[in-house]
Amino acid sequence: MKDFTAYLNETEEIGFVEQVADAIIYVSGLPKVKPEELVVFETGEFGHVFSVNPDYIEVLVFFKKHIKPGTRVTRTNEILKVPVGYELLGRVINPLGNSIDTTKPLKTPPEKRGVNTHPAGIIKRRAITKQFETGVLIVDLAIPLGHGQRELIVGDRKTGKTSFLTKTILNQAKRGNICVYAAIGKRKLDVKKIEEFFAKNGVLDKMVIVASGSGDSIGVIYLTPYTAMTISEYFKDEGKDVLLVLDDLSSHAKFYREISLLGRRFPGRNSYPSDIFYTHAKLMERAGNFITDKGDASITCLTVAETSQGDLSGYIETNLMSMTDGHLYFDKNLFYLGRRPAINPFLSVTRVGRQTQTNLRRDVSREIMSFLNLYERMQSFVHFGAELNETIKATLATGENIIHFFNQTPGEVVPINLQIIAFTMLWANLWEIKDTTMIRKQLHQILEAYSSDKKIREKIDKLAETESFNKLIGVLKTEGPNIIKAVSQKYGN
Amino acid sequence: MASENSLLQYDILGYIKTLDQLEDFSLGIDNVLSGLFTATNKNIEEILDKTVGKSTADVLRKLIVENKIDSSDFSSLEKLLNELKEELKKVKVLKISLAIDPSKERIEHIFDWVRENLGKEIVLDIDKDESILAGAIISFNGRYKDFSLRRNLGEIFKNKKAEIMNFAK
Repeated sequence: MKDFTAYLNETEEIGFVEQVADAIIYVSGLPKVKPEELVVFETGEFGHVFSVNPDYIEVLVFFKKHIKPGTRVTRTNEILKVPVGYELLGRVINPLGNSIDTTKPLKTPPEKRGVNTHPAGIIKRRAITKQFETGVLIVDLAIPLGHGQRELIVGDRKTGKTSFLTKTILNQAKRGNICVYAAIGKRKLDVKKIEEFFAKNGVLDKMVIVASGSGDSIGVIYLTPYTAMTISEYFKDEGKDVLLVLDDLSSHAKFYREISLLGRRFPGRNSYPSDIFYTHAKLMERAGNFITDKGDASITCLTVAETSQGDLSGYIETNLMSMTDGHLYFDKNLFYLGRRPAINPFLSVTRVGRQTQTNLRRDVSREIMSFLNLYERMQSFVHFGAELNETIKATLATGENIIHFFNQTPGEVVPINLQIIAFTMLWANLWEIKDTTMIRKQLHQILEAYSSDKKIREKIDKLAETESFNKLIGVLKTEGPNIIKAVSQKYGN
Repeated sequence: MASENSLLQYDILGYIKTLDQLEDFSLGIDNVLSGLFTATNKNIEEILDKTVGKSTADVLRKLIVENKIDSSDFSSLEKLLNELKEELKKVKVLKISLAIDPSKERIEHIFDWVRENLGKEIVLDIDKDESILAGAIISFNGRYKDFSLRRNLGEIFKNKKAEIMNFAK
């Protein structure tokens, strides 16, 4: 970028700082300035035109340095752009495209893209047809997602949302997809932990982390999801399936509220500005399944929203629910009951995920949901104890087994074909289960066998192609014991 | 009472040519306003003598006479001065950077030209910047024009450098 004098001589327009309100700076002059144009201050810093009024313009700045009234400002005739390219993979960058990691220099990619672009139109879009594998049993089996789906991850603090997201990123990165993680106004320590987790698991080179810290300027924090989306769009245009995680948009809404109030916008519900829905919806619309020059490619967007006291009816949460294709609700009460992940299947929604499923997967999903419903109703009979009849006792025991089956440790990722076969084995009582810990043991054994034994993997993958659930149960009743025997002989101890 | 535009009506800006003078005049008005209701001040003449310089006092005196304000009618004067202050805020500033300290005559010459060609409600903000070598840099209404020798020389050097670099290839 050029310096202040060069821009001044080029555009021949000048403005002066009149008033400073934290990240919003009021500037007079600059008669032909356009909204979203980049302006440069005499001190060398850049800002982005937030709004244009007849007497002054509002500039959103991306720095915390103090600017004095009277400082000269000039136009650049450019919009805010960030560098995009493969060079960003494996790096932690700030929303302006600079590396946060000071130890390794970042080779700046030659291509730059505007951060605030319009979402692609209907002609460039395609229906969601491919299942998105999270590696999380309850999601892939009961609330399936599709590539290009926008799913809200909603729940209270400390209910395992980040753990679910890291697991999903891990699975997607291992499958060769690009993952972009946007940490919006997070603590630096948390960002470092996330980076270290992915580096340790060897998937950082498939990822870009766009991070802004809580100590950064509000302008920078506000920009974070837009930069992450722009980077995702680059990889999408390269024909890649991209997973974008926006962690989290409820914080983003709070920072946007701060900017709007400083900009003297009229406050609406909970003091949020009236365009908060538009701001987020425009961003979410940039995700989806697309037709590109390099084939079909998708941006699957997992958006996080934090609730307070499990209240799903909050303003931002309901806004986000209505602009996404469903939500996974992380229930605090289930978390306290020891469920990991603490996803409540009854309060979670997937609007496009089911259309991506094969007949078998749909059968399994339907079976699980109807059984979980039954199990939930049967729970009210538990207090009858010994008076319960055998059917109810059996239902409760199976329910407990399934709940335990869905429990996963943070780093554990289960491939989807194995999920189906393992669930069917459990359902058909093929596993020898003396107590619930046996379920984890059996699952770990078969998971280990699946990832290291080609023969077993091929067998399981073939079985997962069976047409229906009933047929699969029938097949597994004959072939299942052999697989279980082979697995326990090899990986039993 | 002051009209829609007392600055023009009483040609106050004929006395105020530069931004420094405008700021002094505004400060003078503030001083008069704060002195209006001090117990020790008995009439307007006394306040003007005590609070502002001679040139500002003369302008204000003329204004008081032409608006037929009684020397003890403080509230009318307050209203007049507040209106005047608001009008002064609307005055536009034409900023000129020169490589020299301009003489009084030169400032007047520039001021007369500006009044004739650009309008009457404009004051000059002239500053000295020797680094521009000669010529002037003018900023007005958000427009910026660099007519300095520094820029011309810079462009010549840039072109010549490109020529030399091409030749060297």
